[in-house]
Amino acid sequence: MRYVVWACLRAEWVQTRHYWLNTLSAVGFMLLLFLMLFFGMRAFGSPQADLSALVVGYYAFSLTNVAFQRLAAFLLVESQTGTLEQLALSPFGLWRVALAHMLAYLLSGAIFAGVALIITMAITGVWLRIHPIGFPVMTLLLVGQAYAFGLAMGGLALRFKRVGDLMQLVTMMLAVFILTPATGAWAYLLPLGQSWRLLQEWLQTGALAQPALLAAEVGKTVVLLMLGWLVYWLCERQARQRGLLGRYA
Amino acid sequence: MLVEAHDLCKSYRTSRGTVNALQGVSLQLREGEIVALLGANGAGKTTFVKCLLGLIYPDGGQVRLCGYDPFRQPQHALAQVGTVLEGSRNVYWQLSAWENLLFFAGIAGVPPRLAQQRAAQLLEQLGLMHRRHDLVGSFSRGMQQKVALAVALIRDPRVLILDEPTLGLDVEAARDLRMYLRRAVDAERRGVLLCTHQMELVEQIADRVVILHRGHVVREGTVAELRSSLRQRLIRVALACPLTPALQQRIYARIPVAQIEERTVAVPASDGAAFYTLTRLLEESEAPIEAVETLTPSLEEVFLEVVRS
Repeated sequence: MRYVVWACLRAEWVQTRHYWLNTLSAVGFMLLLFLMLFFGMRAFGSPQADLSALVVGYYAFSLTNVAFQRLAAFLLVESQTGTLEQLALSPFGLWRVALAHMLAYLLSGAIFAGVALIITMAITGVWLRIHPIGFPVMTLLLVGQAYAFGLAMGGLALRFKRVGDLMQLVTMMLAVFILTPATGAWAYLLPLGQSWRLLQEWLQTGALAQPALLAAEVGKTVVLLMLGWLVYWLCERQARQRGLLGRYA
Repeated sequence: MLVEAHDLCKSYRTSRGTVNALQGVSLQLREGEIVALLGANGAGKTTFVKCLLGLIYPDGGQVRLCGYDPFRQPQHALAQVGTVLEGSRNVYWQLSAWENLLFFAGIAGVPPRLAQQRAAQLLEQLGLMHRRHDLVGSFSRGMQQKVALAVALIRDPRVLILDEPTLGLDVEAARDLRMYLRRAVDAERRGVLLCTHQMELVEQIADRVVILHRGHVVREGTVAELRSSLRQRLIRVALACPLTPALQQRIYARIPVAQIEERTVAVPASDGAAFYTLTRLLEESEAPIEAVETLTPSLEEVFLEVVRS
């Protein structure tokens, strides 16, 4: 499997280099976005406002969004270009190749965003607190839960092909989950929301008031991943039964 | 045995009813053999190939690739097979030939160093080494197919499954591909399953032919066996001028099996008496003979006769 990941990383790097204008534009976009957040916060927010929570939170949200959307987009593009079946002929299986691709894309996206963030901090002179353990752990939980939805969406894309509007619907739903206030016990069961709150808490205080909630979030992530995988597996199976794998419409 | 398929069945439900794409298709491929799967459009060739590879789940039957079940043991089964699929793009146009080979080697589990060695070797053999860093999108169709073939070979498979590999290739590229396949089979003892409807390609390189029609295997055998089993060799006499109606009637009266056209008459080569009778009739009519030749039915004629019957 490490060779699969390496192959996808390498291919991602080659395309990043080849389409350098697009790559520079992506970094430029991130840079402008962070600058906007920084200056906007200073202009319209409280002078004591913690920029760390806002910017790093946005960084985590972006990765979450990629984790959700990228898999389905990848499968759709591959079926449109006609290479999906060749990927499905990998001895490791289509879903592992798609996962490796998503990891490669996530890594390159994280690097670009990281570069843009460092440049922004250098320009503004505001250096953010990024906890070396807390931030990756919490982000992984968020990404893992988002990836569960991404898996399900990827499966639906294999089976039904046209799922663009459904993806938008689910993106909005995930945003609602994140923004839903924790006003009752039921709110803790919603995907993403609690992980998001834990990330914010860690960023602001450097610790967790209720470590048991972290354990519960880990359990929730595992369950969601299993459910997402089940949906993907059922959809891929149906796509193969109906001979839909190579079709793009 | 490299490929074993037993009683594969597959049907699809469409708005117009059920389409039986495969109905009990069985096929075997041995080491050092090229088997051609012949069939018209819609015969079920591509469905069969995809069932072999696990891309489509069959409704019934069994498949083994080098002894492994591609549905239950895909990691073992698919590691033994290299594939060039028809119609779809088998490689990435936005990557170079070199990068395509390294990518597909990686997702097949080939370690990077070994992948680089094999990629260099394959590109050299296929005459693409000087273009290895150019984007595949800039290649001609023939070169793109060569890259697709190299991608199929990069995992060093025991079996090659090629679906219409010469489609869109010019004469030279098609010839290069044929020669390469023959070498791959004879020297490296691979097995090749070739799906095509190009008779000339089959006649030139196939060891065995399986004819698929409407989801059924209707004939199987070597090219020579198929030719001799279905159509007799004929002796054809060509005349310098058209046969007169009277002469045609006399020939039909004495030789009912004769095949008469405007300036030619053909009789079965195995029927010596018919030939002698024909020559006597022509001599009596003073019909000028221009040429006498032996005709062996082409594979195309055999195929058409099989599917039409």
